[in-house]
Amino acid sequence: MALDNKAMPRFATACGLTALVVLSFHGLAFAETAHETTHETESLGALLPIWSVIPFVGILLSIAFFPLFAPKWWHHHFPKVSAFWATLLALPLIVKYRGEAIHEILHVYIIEYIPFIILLWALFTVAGGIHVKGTLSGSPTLNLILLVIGTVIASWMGTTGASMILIRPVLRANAWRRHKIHVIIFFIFLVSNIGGALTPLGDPPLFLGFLLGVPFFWTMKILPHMLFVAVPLLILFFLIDSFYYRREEKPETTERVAVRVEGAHNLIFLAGVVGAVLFSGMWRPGDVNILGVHEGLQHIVRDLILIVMGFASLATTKKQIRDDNEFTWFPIKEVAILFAGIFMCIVPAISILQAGEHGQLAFIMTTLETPAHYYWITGSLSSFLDNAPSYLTFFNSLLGKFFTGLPHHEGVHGLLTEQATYLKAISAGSVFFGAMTYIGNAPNFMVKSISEEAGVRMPSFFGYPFKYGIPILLPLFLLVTLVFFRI
Amino acid sequence: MAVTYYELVIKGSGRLLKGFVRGYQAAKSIKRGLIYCNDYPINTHHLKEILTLRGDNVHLICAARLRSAFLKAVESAKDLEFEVLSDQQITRTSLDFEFCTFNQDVASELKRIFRTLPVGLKLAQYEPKESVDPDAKGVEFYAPAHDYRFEAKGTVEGDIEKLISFHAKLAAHEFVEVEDILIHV
Repeated sequence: MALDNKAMPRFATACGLTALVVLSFHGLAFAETAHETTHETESLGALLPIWSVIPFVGILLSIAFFPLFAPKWWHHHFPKVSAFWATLLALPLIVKYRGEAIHEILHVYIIEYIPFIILLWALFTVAGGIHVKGTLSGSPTLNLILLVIGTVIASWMGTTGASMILIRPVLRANAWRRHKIHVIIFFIFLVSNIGGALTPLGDPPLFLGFLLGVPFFWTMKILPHMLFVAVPLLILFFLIDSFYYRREEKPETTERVAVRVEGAHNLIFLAGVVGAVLFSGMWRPGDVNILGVHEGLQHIVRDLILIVMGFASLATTKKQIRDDNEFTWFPIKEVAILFAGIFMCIVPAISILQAGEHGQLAFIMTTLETPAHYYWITGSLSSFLDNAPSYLTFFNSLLGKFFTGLPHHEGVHGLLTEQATYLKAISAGSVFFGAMTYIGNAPNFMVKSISEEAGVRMPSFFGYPFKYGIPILLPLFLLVTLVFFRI
Repeated sequence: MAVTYYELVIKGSGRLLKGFVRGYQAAKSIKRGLIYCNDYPINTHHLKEILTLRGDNVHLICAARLRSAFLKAVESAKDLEFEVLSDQQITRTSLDFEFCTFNQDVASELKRIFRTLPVGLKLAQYEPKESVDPDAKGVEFYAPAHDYRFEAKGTVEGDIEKLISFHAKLAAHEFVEVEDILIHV
C-alpha cells in the first residue's frame, strides 16, 4: 500500500516545491557557456576578516557538543541554533558586502546545498523502503558476511542507507548474544563509514566533491586505501567475534523464519539514483543562470530524477515496510536544517581559503604542505566535526594553495591531474576518520541510537573513541599514511 | 535474625594470612562467616589507612559466632607474626549501583531484579526515573534522543555474604554499574 497524500510529510512536499523552484529558476535565463565568478570569490575572500569564520566554527561545535551536554534541549531546539549561527553570519555579511555576499550565498545554496539535500533525501527515502526480514544466526561467519555486504553496498546506497537497511538484521541476529557490542562497533567502522569511500553516493563529503567537479568514478582511486583499512578490520572482527562466540551459551533452536528482502523493488529506484548521478557527470548540455549563479542543466535534470525516484519509492512501498524500519522524516529534516546553517556559515571560510595567499587563512596553506598533512587535518576535523564541511574546507584550501586565481573548473582539473594525491588524502581522511567518534558521520549516532533501543549497551560518547576508535583505527590510519601519503 | 559481623584488620603477610584462613576454615569445617576481603569486591581502603600508608594491612570479615575462636587462633600462631590492629563491629554493609537503559524489556528485567531482592537485603535508597518522550520516537542523525528511558541509582544494604552474591549478579548485568561493597564500622 502506498503512502496517501495525507500521510505525506511536509518535507516531501517541500522537496516537490524545491523542484518547482529549481524549474522556475531554470526558466530565468540560459547561458551558453559557463562563466566562472572566480574574481568575485577572490575579492570577497581577500577582504573577509578571519573572525568571519566564527559562525562556521560555532555551528560545527554546536552540532558536536549540544547532543552530548544537552541532548533533550538540542533535540527540540537545534533549528533555532542553526538559524542563529546562519543569521549571525548572513546579516553582517550582506550589509557589508551586499551583492558579492548575496552571490556567494546563492552560489553555495544552489550549487551545493540543494543538490546535496536532494541526494540525501532520495537515498534515505529509497533505502527506507527496503527491509530485511527473517531469522539470522549471529554466528561469526554470518556477521562477517553482513559486514562485507554492508561495506560493499555503502558506496552505492550511501553509508546512511546501508546502515539503515542492515543494522536491524544485525541486531536481530545477535540479540541472544551476551557479547555483541563489538559487532555494532565494527558495523559503524565499516558500514557507516569506511565502506562509503568509493563513490560520491557513499559519503556526503564525496558527493560534495562530485558537485564541485570531481568525476563520479574518480573516487574509485581510493579503493586500495579502502581495502588496506577494511580487510584488516574484517579479519580482526572475525577473530574477536569468534573468540566471544565460543564463550556464548548457544540458544536452543527456535522457530526460524526464512530471510527475505521486503521492498526489493526499491533497488530499481536506487539504480535510478545511481544512474542519475552518473549521467549528470557525463552529459554537458550547457548552463542555466539562476539568480546570477551558473548551474549545469544536467545537475537540474539529475535533481529532478532523484526527486522522482524518491516519490516513486514512497508511492510504491508498503507503509508496513517503512514502519518496520521506523522510518520518519526527522533524520532528513535534521540534515536539511543543520546543513542549511552549515552551508551559510561556511561561505566566509570557503571564500577566504579560495583566496589563497591573499586571504586571512593563508597560514593554513603554508603550514599544511604534504598529502599526509591534509589527510590528518581533514581526518582529525572529520572525527569530531562533521566530515562534509571538513572536506569542503580542505578541498577549497587545496584550490587556494595550488590554483589561486584560476577558474574553478580549471583548478579542479589541476587538482585531479597534478595534485591527485592531495585530493585522495582529503577524500580518504574525511571518510575514514568519520568512524573515530559518534559525531564523525551522521549514521554513527543513528546506529548507536537504534542499538541502544534494541537493548545493547553502547559505549559512551568518550568511551567509543578511547576504547575502540583510537586503539583499533588509529594504527591503521597511521599505516595508510606511511603507505599512501608519505610524500 | 541478622548475623553480626566484625571487621578484623591484621598486619602481616597477606598470602600467609589467606593460607591461614583457608586452613582454619578447612580444619573447622567452616563454609560461611569468614571472608578474606581481597577475594571479593569489598572496599577496604579506609581513609586512616591510606593517610598512614598502611596498605599492607589485611582485612577480614568474621561472623560474631566465629570471632573469639578465630582471634585466639591468630594470636596462638606466633611464628607467623600476625598482629591484630583493629577488631570492630560492622554496623552496616552496602553497595551503590546505577543503570540507564532505553529498552523496555531491559527495564522490566531491571525492575524485577530490584523488586525481588534476596532475603536479607533491602533497598536503602532507590531513585528510579522512567520517562517517555513521544516526540523522540524514531531515529535521528544529529539530535539523538530516545523516546523511552529508564534510569536509577540507589543503595542496597544487608547481610554481607548475601550482598557479595548480589554484587556478582549485578556486575554480570550489562546495564548495571555497581560499586564495591562498603563496610561501615
